[in-house]
Amino acid sequence: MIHDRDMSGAMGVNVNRVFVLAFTFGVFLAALGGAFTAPKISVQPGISISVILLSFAVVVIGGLGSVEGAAIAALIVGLARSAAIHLMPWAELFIVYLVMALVLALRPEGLFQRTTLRKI
Amino acid sequence: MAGRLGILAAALAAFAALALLGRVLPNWFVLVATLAFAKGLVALGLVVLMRGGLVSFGQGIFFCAGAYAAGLAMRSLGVDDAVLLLILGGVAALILGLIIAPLLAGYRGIFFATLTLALSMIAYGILDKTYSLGGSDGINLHEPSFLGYHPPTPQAVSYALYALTSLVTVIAAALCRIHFDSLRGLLSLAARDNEIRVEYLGASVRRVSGVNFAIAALLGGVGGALSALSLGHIDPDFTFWTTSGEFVFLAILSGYASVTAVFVSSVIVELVRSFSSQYFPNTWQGALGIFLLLVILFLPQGLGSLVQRRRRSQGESEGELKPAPAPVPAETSQ
Repeated sequence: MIHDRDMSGAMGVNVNRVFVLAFTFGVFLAALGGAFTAPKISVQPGISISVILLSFAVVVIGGLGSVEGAAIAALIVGLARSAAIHLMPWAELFIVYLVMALVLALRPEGLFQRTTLRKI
Repeated sequence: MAGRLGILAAALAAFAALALLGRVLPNWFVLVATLAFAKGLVALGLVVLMRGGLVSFGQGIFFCAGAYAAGLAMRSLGVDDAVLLLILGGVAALILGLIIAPLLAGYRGIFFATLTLALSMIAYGILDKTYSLGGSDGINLHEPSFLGYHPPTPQAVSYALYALTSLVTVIAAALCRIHFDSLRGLLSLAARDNEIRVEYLGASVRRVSGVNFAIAALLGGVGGALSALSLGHIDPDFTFWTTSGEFVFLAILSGYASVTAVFVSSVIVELVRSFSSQYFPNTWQGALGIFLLLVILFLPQGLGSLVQRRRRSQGESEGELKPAPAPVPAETSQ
């Protein structure tokens, strides 16, 4: 499906439906996350901005398509941020990106990289 | 060769038209257009990268490098010649690009995008805390001179800056068009399609992407220096991710078929932003968002696809823009 859209379409997979379902489920999870965090923070229209980048960082650190990777990466990012705020406040602005750059430098495809398809 | 001369002639004509237009149009438009062209240059660099299949989400770092190089040269070295500052900005960004290119060489897709984003945000964090470089307040720039010419009035300064920006823009656009049509430019499209195949055919994807990355860095730096001069102020926001996101958006809006489309979409976005912030002061983000949504819904291939569509309907087709030829039927090939 993600490797070759045309091929899976030809094999009878309804590509559009898979996309719509995946997107819907993603939106559901995002909304759930928002509902869980809302009581702990102040809610305002610009709230999405920081979440977009943080979730990007989490996904990339964990490895694309890896559920356990995302969970561990979320812990790493959260702990790194809290530690930075406590220990070196000047680094708080970019600590997440620093962690992301370090992880990617050591493991270019994220912590839980999966085998990738080579298309010749 | 005739094609290249044609492109250069078109560039000269475009510059003459833009210079004349700047004389006729009101001063506010000249200011908006200068900024739009400067940002368009950065977006053009991004289009060069995108043709090779790489999307950088941290192009702001080069924009910022160019702007800070120009700003610091003006503040510390006392350089106030716009042309010199422009060259300094471009060279600084190019050097930065050559330093970080080896680090990025092994990454593709979302990993390339997030790593460039990470680098630009680290730069943001450092600049924000470096008080000798102005910290989060940034640096103010004064009015530049132009090869010994000191424009007498603020209007003359903004016009001179506009003319310089237009000149740089048409030169960059023409050179990029020539690059796109060259062997290396066409190899970028092939590398975007399938890198292993390109390597197997004997070309180096690393070199092709490296050259594209260097071009993007240079254009980013020049665009940054021009923006710094036209705004008169620089701050770490130049490398904030929303700035980089704006360039990605411009590049997607224009598509990769046409270089002119990049600057047209840049001017349109800048105008929409100015007008909506004037007429809908509280909801201008909403107006901009609706505009972007309409473009994505009705022109998913970008504004450049309008040019492409027209060319195709005229029956004149460029090799790289043609849809893949229909496969040969089995009976005839046997």
